Amino acid sequence: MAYIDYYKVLEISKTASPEEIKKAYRKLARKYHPDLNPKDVSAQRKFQEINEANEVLSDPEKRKKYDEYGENWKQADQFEQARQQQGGGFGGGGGYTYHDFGEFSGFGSSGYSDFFENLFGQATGRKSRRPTAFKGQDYSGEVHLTLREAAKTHQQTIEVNDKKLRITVPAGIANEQQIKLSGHGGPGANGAPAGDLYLTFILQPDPVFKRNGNDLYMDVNVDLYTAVLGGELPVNTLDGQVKMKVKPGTQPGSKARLKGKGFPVYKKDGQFGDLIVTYLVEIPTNLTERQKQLFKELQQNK
Amino acid sequence: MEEFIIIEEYIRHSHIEPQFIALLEENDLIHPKAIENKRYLHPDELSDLERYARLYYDLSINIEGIDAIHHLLERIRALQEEMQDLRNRLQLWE
Repeated sequence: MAYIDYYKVLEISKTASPEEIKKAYRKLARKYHPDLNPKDVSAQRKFQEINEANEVLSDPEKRKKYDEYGENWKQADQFEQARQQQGGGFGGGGGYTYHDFGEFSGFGSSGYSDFFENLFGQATGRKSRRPTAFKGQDYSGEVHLTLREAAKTHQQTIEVNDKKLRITVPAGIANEQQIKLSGHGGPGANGAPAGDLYLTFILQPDPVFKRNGNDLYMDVNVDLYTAVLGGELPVNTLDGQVKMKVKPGTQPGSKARLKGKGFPVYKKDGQFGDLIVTYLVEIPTNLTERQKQLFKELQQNK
Repeated sequence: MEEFIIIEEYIRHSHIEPQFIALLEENDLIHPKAIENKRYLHPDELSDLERYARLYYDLSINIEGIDAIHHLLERIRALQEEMQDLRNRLQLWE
């Protein structure tokens, strides 16, 4: 757990007046507010930091304690005991609400740093000027899939705040595609609708197939003789082996298209992209004397 | 059956001024419907409304600013989608 320099977070000096603190906080809040920085996790984290800094520095009691004990936070336990004996509590610092931080997105349920919780405890309660969100909190999370998993409609069980949720992932989902599950976020206040759950699907790259939209790309090795003379070549597609016809005189790096052997089209049952095969022609090495002789004959005959 | 939000009830819970709702409606930012003398909001618009309320009350951004931000956020969303699509395509050459 690291000491946090709240003055540095708000970009102010240690002697800043309450007015300067307020101004600095407002300015940074406008810059980093999650509503103004969609899908930007670093901005959201920064916003939490400035909120925490403001909560401490805008509250005279908290600021005093922080100034006294901040860098020596380990002694704060003793302070905490003394505080409890006095029966004192701290009021909220007038921070902004930030609705979008689901517990599912890994920020921790309280939204405070360990440093803060160690110094001030967990139960301080954030107060804001307009405290009441009506709709439940939106949650967000990631689901990691292999490319091959994403090629099939399948069920996944995910855990959202200790609750298991079974979801169906339609075949053909794209990397970083986001799906909204209405009503699977946090509960709403007094009969208000629950928040939504936003799931982002992250596809791991496949060692064999590369994907471009609905088309798949793969390299296949073809031996020199088949490339020169033509023939058949077994190719392992996503859904099993097929035999490809190789034309005589197939050049290295040339491509062939296998219609309908690509990736399934999202939410279009039975539709598939193409598989585009790039031929890598293997030049024989470690030739026997006899083979060398035959190649020499070919060379002389060209 | 979709659960519509009764605006009156929303105002009571959220302590938002009715004038703010009217302002949003005037500026075409939310689209309440009237059914039997009560005004309702589609649940899909509730997230928008709460976002506008945070911008207005928390960040002191006026209604014109909210309208401008709304358009910019739409553009950011479209650009983010396009960028992701291009990134996915780039993987072909990696």
